[in-house]
Amino acid sequence: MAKKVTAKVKLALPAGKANPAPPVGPALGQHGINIMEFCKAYNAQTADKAGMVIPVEITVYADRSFSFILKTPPTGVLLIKEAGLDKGSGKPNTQKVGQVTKAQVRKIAEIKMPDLNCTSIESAMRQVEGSARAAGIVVVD
Amino acid sequence: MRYVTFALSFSPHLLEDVEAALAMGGFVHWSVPLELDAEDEPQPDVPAHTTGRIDLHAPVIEAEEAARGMEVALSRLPVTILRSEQDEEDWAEGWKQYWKVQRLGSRIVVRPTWEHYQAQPGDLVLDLDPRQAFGTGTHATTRLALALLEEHLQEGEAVYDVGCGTGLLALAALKLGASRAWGVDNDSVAVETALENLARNGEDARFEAERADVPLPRPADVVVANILADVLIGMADALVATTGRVLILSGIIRRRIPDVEAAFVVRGLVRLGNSVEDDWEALIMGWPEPRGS
Repeated sequence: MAKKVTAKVKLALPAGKANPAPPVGPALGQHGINIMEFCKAYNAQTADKAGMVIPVEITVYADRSFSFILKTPPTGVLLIKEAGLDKGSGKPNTQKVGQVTKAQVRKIAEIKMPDLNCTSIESAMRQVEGSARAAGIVVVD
Repeated sequence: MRYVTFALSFSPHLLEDVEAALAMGGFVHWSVPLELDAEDEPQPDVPAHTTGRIDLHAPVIEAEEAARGMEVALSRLPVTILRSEQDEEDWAEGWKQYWKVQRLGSRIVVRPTWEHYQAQPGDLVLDLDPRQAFGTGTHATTRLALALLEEHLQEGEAVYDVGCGTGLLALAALKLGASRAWGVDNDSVAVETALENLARNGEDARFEAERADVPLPRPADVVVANILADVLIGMADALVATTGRVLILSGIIRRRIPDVEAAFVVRGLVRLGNSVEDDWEALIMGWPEPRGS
């Protein structure tokens, strides 16, 4: 069928827990796509990643059908998990809330590579380290 | 329940940082509207442009806590936050307002499964649930393909729906007098949806569908392919090979008609007719004389 794209939207959602409430409802409902169908499909594909935020990029076509691809979790979520924290620091300059090792930074960078505009693992690691500093997480060797 | 929407705006290159900050602040859902590429054909592997906007929603009773959390999480980033309030809509059902009973051609009526319709004499009613697949009759290309099918299908012929989506065209063909139909789609969700829709209309015994990237050989008199110009050209060999009498080609932007027509003329078919709506055009091609004679 003819696939003229009318909109694209990215949603950050908790894995396996999409439902028609915001943000899914307003973001997709305005394009007239079948919301329960999206939720069912997303939940089925992310059920094994419970506890993570798995962003999804949805393409809406002219006849109100849709397709979607899953993205990697936000760097922040991965950092917090590796550092064993609940959340990052509100005052990262003065308040350090945790630490991650270089090896953990590399691990996160490898997960994130497909979604980062990086050509090398080193530059991906520098981005991850930047996010860590912004959250008050210290990178140690 | 009422919801508060926080519309965050920032420089587009900060998207990853803003999302990381939100995630570290404990937020688990938000939406990012993306800007479309100029292409009208989807490129799922090419990232869309970001617009420097994020929408975050919270129920009114949790809004103050969310606002404070955002302030802390985004304190180091230049982000402007606009706050507005909306009533909750019935999101799970609201999308259905876009899907109404509609008449396609002279006899076919497509009825979404949740709508009521009192059939008129001579109506051929198709009950459809679109799920996630293509082909609900709301797009011009489906209407164009159906118009040619209605005009050219002969009683008792076998029909092959290539790129079947919801199965609408195969179902319409059976209702219009085809003896049997096959469907094929490169999306397994579409194949399941088509099988469900044909069963819902009591036509599963005369219909088979499967997932494949190119049409498989089928003893079809009529082949109908509503896809896209480049896809049609790319599978021209397979389409021609399985065409017994006529081939209906739809999903074609008008300026691409000469390319599509040429690709099939080169393989021995001749143009029998066309139908046009807005920027879209469909072609019907056939063998110059009955095959095998």
